[in-house]
Amino acid sequence: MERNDLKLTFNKLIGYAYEHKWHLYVAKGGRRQSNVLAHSLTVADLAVSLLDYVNKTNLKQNTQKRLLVAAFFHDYFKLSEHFQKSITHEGESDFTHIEPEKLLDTFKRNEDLVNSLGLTSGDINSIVAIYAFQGKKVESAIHFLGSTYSGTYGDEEFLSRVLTLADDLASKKTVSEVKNLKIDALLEHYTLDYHEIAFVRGILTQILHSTVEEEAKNQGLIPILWYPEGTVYIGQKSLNLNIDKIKRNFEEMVREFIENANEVKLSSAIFGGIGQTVIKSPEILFSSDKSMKVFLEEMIKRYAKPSSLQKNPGEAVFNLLLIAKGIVKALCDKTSLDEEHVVQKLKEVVIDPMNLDFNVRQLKKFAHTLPHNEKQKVVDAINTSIKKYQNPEDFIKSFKVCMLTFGNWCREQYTRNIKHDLIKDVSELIVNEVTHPFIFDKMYLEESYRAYVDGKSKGTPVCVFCNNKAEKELVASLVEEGGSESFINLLVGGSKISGGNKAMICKVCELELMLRSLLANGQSIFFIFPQFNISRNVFFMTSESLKKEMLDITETIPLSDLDALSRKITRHGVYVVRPFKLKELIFLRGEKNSNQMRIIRKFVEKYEDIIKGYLVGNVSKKELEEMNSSEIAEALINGTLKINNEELHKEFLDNLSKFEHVYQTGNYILFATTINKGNYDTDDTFLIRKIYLALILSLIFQGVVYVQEFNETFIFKDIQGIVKYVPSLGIRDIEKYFKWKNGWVPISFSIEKSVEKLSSAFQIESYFTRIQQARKGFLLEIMREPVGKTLNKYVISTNRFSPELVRLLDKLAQEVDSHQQLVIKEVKKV
Amino acid sequence: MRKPIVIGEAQNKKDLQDLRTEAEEIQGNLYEYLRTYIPQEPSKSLSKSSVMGPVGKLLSQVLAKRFGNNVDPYVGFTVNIHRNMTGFLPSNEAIGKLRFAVQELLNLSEQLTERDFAKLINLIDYGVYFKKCRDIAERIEAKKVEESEVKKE
Repeated sequence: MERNDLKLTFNKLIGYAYEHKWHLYVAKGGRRQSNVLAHSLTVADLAVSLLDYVNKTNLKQNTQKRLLVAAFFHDYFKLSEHFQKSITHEGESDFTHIEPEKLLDTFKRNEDLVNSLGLTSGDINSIVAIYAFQGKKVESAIHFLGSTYSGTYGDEEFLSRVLTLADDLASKKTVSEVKNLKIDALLEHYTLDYHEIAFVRGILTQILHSTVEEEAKNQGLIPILWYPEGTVYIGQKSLNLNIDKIKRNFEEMVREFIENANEVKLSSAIFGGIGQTVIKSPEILFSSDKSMKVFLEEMIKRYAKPSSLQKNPGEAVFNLLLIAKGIVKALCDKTSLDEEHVVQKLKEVVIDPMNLDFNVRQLKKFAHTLPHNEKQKVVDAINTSIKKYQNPEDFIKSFKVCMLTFGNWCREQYTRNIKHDLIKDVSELIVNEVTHPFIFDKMYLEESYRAYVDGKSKGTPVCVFCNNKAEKELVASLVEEGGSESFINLLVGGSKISGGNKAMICKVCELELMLRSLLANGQSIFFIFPQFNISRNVFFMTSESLKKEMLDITETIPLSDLDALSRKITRHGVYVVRPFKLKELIFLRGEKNSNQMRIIRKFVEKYEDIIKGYLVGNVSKKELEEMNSSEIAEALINGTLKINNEELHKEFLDNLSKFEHVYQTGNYILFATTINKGNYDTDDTFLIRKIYLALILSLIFQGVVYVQEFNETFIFKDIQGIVKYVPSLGIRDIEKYFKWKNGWVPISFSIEKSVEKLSSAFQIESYFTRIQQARKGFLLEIMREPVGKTLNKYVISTNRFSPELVRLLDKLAQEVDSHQQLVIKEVKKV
Repeated sequence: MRKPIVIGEAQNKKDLQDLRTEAEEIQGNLYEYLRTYIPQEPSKSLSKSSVMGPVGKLLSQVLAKRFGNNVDPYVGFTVNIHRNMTGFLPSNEAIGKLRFAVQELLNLSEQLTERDFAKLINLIDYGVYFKKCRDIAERIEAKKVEESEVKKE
């Protein structure tokens, strides 16, 4: 069967499963849950993939399709009320398979599905027989096969063994359990192996996963199953990793990540703020000439705008010098250079050529905390120097050249004199997190314990994120936009908050935060994990459907605009988000894919008439004239052509930056998006918005979504449900919107209903915002008070009814059933 | 001499959350009764008291325990308002629903703390109000549809 046919069959089965709400049924209970849809998809795909590795003989026609459908329906019995009550501990235990006849009935009742899959009655009998063999109902299977039964170890029995193996494999909740799996004799020439990583940090762990996976592929092992914490491989020998090679490749990939960073985001990832740590990511600033140039140009653009130059040019230059001083500090921190020496260089390269009236001592004291009268003196001195130029803009042009020269000198010094290369250090450290196949001692445990017992003179003894050895003060602006200081909240009674009580982090987390700010500065981060594992094709299929569906960007709903999103959901139902038509999910950093091409081509087509006039590169005019939009788009992505117009270039970069919202390997997706804080949001209501988005992402990806909060560790082993959030709301009445268990929303608590109810709540809030009756925390008030009271408030304010509002309130008042009853009721309706 | 303050302990009182179904039942009965209430001169006001009619008044009387734990006076009180406003007595069926709701309310008042009972009355009050409003909204929409069809014709 062709790969496309396989995909088509898959899509049809998914459509059927959604229609019958398979995603609301629990397939695996306990601490790490999985729903029937996610599990069936993985098993179905894995079974078909395993066919490549088993010894097969004389199979009948349509093998792949029959196996695929049989595997997809292998947990059909779990949709029964009995099973659901058993697994959610609400009824008597009953885990028996249903009779194969019932499956046959289902196929008979769904003629449309059978016809669209192109299954003959022989195929259906064969599928039911595979199901029966898997449920150990041999007699029943033989009955279905009738005259086509080919004896013991015939076609159907063989396929049921492949299916059982796939089911066993996909039912393992952690990657290490795979090692203990008893491999069927079918796979006698192959072996299963895996790699495992202790912490899921975010970008760095993804890079580490990719590095190890690449190495495994080089050794002839094929990844078949992905977990957030590791990957399972199949091959003819075990995984044997070369630790030095992993370190080297990891380092290269991190550097490549920084190199490929989008220009628009570079400067915001580097700059911490004038009143704070000016350079929050020195590694990124000094990584290349490009980043230094982009950063300085952006700073000059930001602080020496024509309007500020008109008003007070001295002040603008003062700020730029503060930034130069920030670069000096960052350089001296990272290298063994003497500050006086660097300041002297700043004087030689910038101050003297620009005739600014400074001496070195003044420059050394230079800081944003300068008393007002002293600052004024400096500003006046700069203003006097500027007056010598015809206009301030000429001055800034020359100043920019000097700053760039100084920046390049600093970069050179950094490369030559660097004490510790953070990326290299991290590559040494992070391999310790690979717990299998490498096995290391827990080297930091002793250190942490010692620091805990002895007491530490400054800051937290261990990293506030991952409990490794803490080495560096946390720069607040790396964690939260606009944050000035990060102190720990664990002070000894009576002690004062001071510089000594700052939150400390380890080197690995420091680099992680830097890279994350390249990807998503000031955005909310969501981790999307598979429901404990995902198979190869399901992963690729999700990626591909994302790519395919994302193309028409003009018609999509921006995920950041929760108001628009909730409006769509209240009008068209929660299924509106299902086809992945969400703007931010546009793929993907690190993959030069066709989707990226299409979007750039759209941009080129939009400006075709004017863009050719601004293209620069090693192409003659005639050649340029003959190029079509796809060729231009390709040349722009490759860098052979560049746009020589500032505005167009910026728009081009903005288009490119859309790819950086998602970072994904097979193991998990790191998703970042801006959630607009409403005018009336408090911390609690903003958290509700985040949870809402997490629920939607979970619906789209059929995955587990982890809402990342500051000071939360990244330990994936805590996964217990569908969506994680901190139940800091502390209000019991809110429970009717999303029930939780240890901070997790489990599958059985009907996430669809929660999304619909929250959508209604947002819409009601916007009703009151329109009539100017909303106030801080109003969303919470709407959710807590009886709906009648809210309506009465509206009626009093406007003296009229709004049937639309009544409808929304009605939805809000519906109960989210705490049991599986609701799901069962809904399915019965279907 | 100061009087000693006696602090009693609320014993065997139920949680409001556990009485959700009972509350909904009362709400449903009161709403059903309210549907039979059609004033002689329908008010154009959309205020809560005009929408709620005699039920609004009944609830405040029950909360204040004006007639103690006796069911009949409350029913009589409500029926009287009903007669005054509509010009006729409610049907036996409607009175039955009213009586059932009052009876249940008084039972619940014994099972809850005073604070929770006030909350419960509040919930029922706004619950009935919302149901009645939903009716009105549906009627408005139906009327709009009717008007638009007439215009088309």
